Amino acid sequence: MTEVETHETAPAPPEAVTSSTGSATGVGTRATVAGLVAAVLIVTLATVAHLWFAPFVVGVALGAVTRLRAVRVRTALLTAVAAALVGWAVPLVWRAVVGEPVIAAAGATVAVAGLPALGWLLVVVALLVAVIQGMLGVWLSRALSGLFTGRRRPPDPAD
Amino acid sequence: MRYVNALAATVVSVLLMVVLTVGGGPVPALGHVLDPAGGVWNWGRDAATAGSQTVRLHGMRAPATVSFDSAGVPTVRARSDRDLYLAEGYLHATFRLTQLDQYRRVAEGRLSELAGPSTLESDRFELQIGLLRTAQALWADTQKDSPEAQALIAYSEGVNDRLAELRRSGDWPGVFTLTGLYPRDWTPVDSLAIQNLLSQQLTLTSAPLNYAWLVDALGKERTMQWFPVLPVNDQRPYDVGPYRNLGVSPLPAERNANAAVPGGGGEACTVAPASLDTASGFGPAERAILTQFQRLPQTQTHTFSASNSWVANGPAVAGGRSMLAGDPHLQLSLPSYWYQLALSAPETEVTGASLVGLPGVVIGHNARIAWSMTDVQNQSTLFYREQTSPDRPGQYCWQGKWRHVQTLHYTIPVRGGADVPLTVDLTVHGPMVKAMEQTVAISWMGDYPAHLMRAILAVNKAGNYQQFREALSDWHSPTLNFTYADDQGNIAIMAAGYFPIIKAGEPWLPLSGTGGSDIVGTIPYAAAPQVYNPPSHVAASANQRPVGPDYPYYIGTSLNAFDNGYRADQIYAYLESHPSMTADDFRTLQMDVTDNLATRIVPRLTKALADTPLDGAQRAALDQLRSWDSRMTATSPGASIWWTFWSNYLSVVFQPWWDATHVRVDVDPQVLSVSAGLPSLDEDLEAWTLRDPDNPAFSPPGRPHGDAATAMRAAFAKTVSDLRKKLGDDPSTWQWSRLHTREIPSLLGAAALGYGPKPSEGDRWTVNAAEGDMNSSWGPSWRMVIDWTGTKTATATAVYPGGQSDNPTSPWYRNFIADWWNGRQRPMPPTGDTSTRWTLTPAS
Repeated sequence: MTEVETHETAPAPPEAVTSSTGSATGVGTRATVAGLVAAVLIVTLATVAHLWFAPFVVGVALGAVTRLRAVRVRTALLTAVAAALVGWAVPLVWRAVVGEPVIAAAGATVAVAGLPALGWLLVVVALLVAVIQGMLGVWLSRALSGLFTGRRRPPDPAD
Repeated sequence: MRYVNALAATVVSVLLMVVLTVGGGPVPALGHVLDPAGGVWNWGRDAATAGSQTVRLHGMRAPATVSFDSAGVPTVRARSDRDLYLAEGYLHATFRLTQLDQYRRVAEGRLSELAGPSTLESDRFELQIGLLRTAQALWADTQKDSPEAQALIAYSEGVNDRLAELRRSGDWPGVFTLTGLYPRDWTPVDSLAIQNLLSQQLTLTSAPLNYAWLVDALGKERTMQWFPVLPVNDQRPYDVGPYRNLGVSPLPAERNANAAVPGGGGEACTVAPASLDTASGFGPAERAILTQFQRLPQTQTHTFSASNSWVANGPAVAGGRSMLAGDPHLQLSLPSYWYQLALSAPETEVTGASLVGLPGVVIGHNARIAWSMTDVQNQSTLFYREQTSPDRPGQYCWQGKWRHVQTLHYTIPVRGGADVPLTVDLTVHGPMVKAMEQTVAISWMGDYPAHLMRAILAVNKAGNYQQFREALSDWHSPTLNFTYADDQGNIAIMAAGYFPIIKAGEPWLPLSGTGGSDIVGTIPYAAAPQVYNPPSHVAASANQRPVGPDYPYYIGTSLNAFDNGYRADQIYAYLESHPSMTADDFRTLQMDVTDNLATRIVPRLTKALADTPLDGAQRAALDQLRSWDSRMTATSPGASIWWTFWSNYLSVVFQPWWDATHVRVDVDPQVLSVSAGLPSLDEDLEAWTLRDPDNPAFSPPGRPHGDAATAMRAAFAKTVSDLRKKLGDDPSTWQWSRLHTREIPSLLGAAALGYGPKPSEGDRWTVNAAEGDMNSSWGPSWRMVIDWTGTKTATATAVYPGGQSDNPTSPWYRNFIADWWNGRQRPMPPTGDTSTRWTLTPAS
């Protein structure tokens, strides 16, 4: 669901954007879904290409775009988290599907690090790293863009 | 507030991305490590067993094939030896890259770069002892167009082909991704350094320093009574003579790759031997060396007696030709030292165990001969007390003149810390250690470059005993007993390697470094221990002293050198009581867990206890012993009682002497503590119990007069008391497996990647040996039986505790362990499904 940024001083109804296929909310939802799909695809493809920092980059992009389009930060964060999770999970799931012992590999790694060989622990850590990257990207770009747009626009209550 | 928010976001983002990109301290670059498309997850990709494929390799001259059986054992078929060894290097690097890199780092003193400060002691030691310097000297001494050089070069190219593949794909085994340290290209020197590392494990000891320490406390007379040069118990050497004294083969000091070049010398010095002999007491430098030895992993010095091998022929074997069994004992590890394979080319047809890091097959058979090996365990390390003077820093007195110490400088990179500088000082005897006013140099046979690869490759091609012997004339260190059986029914055991001879002095003690006790040469090859087609039709080596007391050369003592012979006794007892043996008989003997010492001592114990008042538990324990068959099976209570008794018996007899004479064992508990791990004391107590029950040793200072029976009764009472505390009141429940386990640790030191500890049978003296502590991690690293059934026809089986891959997630990581544990062996070369095939083609 799209959440539209509100303005402190001059609240105005959201601009009605209509199309032949639906209402403004519907369009916003489609845009959000499209954005989510795009983000997931980008992170997944970039990750497959060994660009492990894709969640962060996509997070930055999402932060900037949502800021410019006055979309709530929560939406940006949720999108970034979902893109990071799915984008990093897909290659791991694919490995498992083709028969690679993903959990065992993770277990061996954890064991070498001197911890009990709990493979799922490393999977959780990996996904957490992706999620943190995405969230940080959003935070960073919105915080930096806030410096430049802050005087022209009212503050984002969600920031 | 906006600025604070932006600043915080920037700082946190930068910090996170730095950690993810480059890591920090012990934390690896987590972005690369956790990269879902690569990273450590590639361990899982590597785990997939080999599928059929075509691989293009630089350096290959013609196409070759590699067929794998379902357990991962490859058969390589190539059109030349060169391609054969290149393929072997490629296979080792594909399935054992982590291990290769680890061995290289240990041997060349670069382990701390990977593991951090905890391994600095190992790096310092290896740079000091100089495995890398010896390897470099050996390579420099190798003709580059010789077969050994060509094999080493081809092997290196094969390893580097695999490294190049990994650099292109980024699909590194997990350890490299985790540490961010990737292996550099392989060179022949790396292989030779690994060769030297194994030599060090089998031959480098601190025995003379242990002797000096004991002399300091017990006095020389008692030390030499209890730790004599010749064992006091009855042993079965494989070479019973007659022996020949053929003089000495020269071994020029300048061949020592880790010794200073003496040069012409400076001013004359006055030799002061009094300050250098043993009577001057144990010195601080010697203590420093012992401490250094003690801090090393057990795999880096000679620790335990190990290995069995025996041969039989003629009427002793069912087919009338010959059979050979071999099980070299090493520290068990996952992955194993060994990588099994078969190599086939027009000039080479060989199968068996290759050593990771080296080309060729180290133990196995070809079309005509089979061979295995055991450690001779002769004295290969000598210690020299150098004469120095505070007025002449950096100099030492040798052969009447002051000589300059040669100094080398190294820098040891340390993961998570600053580089550590190291200075290594060399005298004409070898690397030296200086502490306070004492300077001691270590002279080790492994420091003399030895063309072992030349020997191994020639053995791989040998077709008869003469060629086999000739090939091993190039074998110098480690000194090994090579067992031999061929398709014509001939059998042999022969020792190859350096047996150092000194000018004068007692080589089992630290020697004066002023020149009078220098090494003058070695025992000539023709005079070294050997037996060929013995009339008994059987011969066995189990690290016992290989020759009898009449042998004209000094080869070592009973302390930390030769085994006490119990395994050899058991093997001979079996071989001589089983005519027309089959390969199954040999495999049965390899799994034998009879404690041969127990067969002799337990009857004496039960006799000593016959008229002794016993309580209920003691009576029940005695009943267990009386009905015990001397086998150290996992379920046997008798085994627990016997082993605990023998340990207590040693302690009852010797510990009062240790206490009274203040033998401090803290400098080297492994060698100096009273325990069954000290062969000399086992031999003494065995001999005294059987033949000299009133030996004065049973009456320690300040105690009433004693004898063997008194000591046995005291030890038995303590045994029952100890076991009741440990295992409960009922002796019938004191199963050996409750005390004794085996473990196969991971080479990476990760407990979860090892195997065990699991309840286990055997002890350090059983043929199926479990050496070390009660949780044993030393034992048969490879079991092999070869039965020659006709000309160029053999049936061979083998197994080792591990698997072909060093990848913990691979089904080939530990798939042989169950067979090894249960005494099953697999056909060698593999005979099952070998449909998985790699085609190796030359890269354009």
